[in-house]
Amino acid sequence: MLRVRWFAMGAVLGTGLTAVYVTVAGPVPVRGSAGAQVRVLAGPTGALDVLPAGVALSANDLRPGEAASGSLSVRNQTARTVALDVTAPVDASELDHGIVLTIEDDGEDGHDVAPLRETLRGLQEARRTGLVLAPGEIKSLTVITRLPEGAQDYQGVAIDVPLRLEAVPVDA
Amino acid sequence: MTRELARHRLRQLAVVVVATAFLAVTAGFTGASFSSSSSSSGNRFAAGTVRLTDNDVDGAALVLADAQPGATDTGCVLVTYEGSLPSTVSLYATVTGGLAPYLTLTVTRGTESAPAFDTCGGFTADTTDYIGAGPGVVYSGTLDGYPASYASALADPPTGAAAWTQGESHSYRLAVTLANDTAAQGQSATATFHWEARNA
Repeated sequence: MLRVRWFAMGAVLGTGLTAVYVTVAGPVPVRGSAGAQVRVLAGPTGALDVLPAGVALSANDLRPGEAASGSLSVRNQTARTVALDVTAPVDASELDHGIVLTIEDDGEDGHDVAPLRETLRGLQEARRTGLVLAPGEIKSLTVITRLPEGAQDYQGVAIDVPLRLEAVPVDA
Repeated sequence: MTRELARHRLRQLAVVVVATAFLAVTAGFTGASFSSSSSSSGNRFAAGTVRLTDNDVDGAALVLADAQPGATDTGCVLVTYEGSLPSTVSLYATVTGGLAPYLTLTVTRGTESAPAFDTCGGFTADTTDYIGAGPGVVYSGTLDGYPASYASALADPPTGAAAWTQGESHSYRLAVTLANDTAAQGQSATATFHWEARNA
């Protein structure tokens, strides 16, 4: 009878210790999980030359709270002053709301301007960047992709985001 | 209870605590191995694109106003292929007006080092003599003789036509000259030049 009581006490203590350990240690981290692979691609149009053509940004292991950036330059090849519209026609249902794309004008004064910050879902339709280019003008841009804190379903996702740039005349 | 018995009980208690903790922890891990799932997600389908753009933003490359015999104008258009599917490109024009037979048109294919519609900045003609009319020339004739539809369009280039791929650009220098013919007096004409891409 005494032996059974000692056994019961041991079992209760053991279970208690385990509960304490699990509570303190938290969930076991998942090993080998991969971040998102994101590439942003841009190419020339008739109206706009884009350099370099191809991959403007490549992030191989993007995780929540992280960002990656790349650079490109855009040249207005038309005879008119144009505004820059951007579309990213990509179906990435897992990350439509999870990835935020920012396009910054590097600016001549050294102070970056952020003319566009939008989710992939938002870029399904053309968005006006706020960038305006005179005929022949070249602007250097920084493209940033960010996976916000708390982003879900990003693990192992690999997407190419084609950035379609369009020149919209703004002069009379 | 003797001291030895108490020590024995404590040892038993310790063994049971460790064993229970071990069983509880490993049960948590090994329990995962009894679940299994299989999925095939992320299936995607997307059609390719055929997209050709130029740098004129609806501007005119050629303008002759109140022209005299021998008057000429030259303009360049940069055409870029943005589609994902390799495509062949054809050239034709929609021409109207009685002046068209009196206008000589030369279309030369090449590159521009600093494209800026319609200035022909740094234009360099292709080295190939496509039709025997000089390097890069793809058409030389009257405006009204220029192909009027896709069915009769010029292949680009006229000899050794190859599919354009994404990001490929070519510049076209258009030059028009008014003939010295009294029948041209008071006449007018308009022309819309087309570059049309189609994949096989």
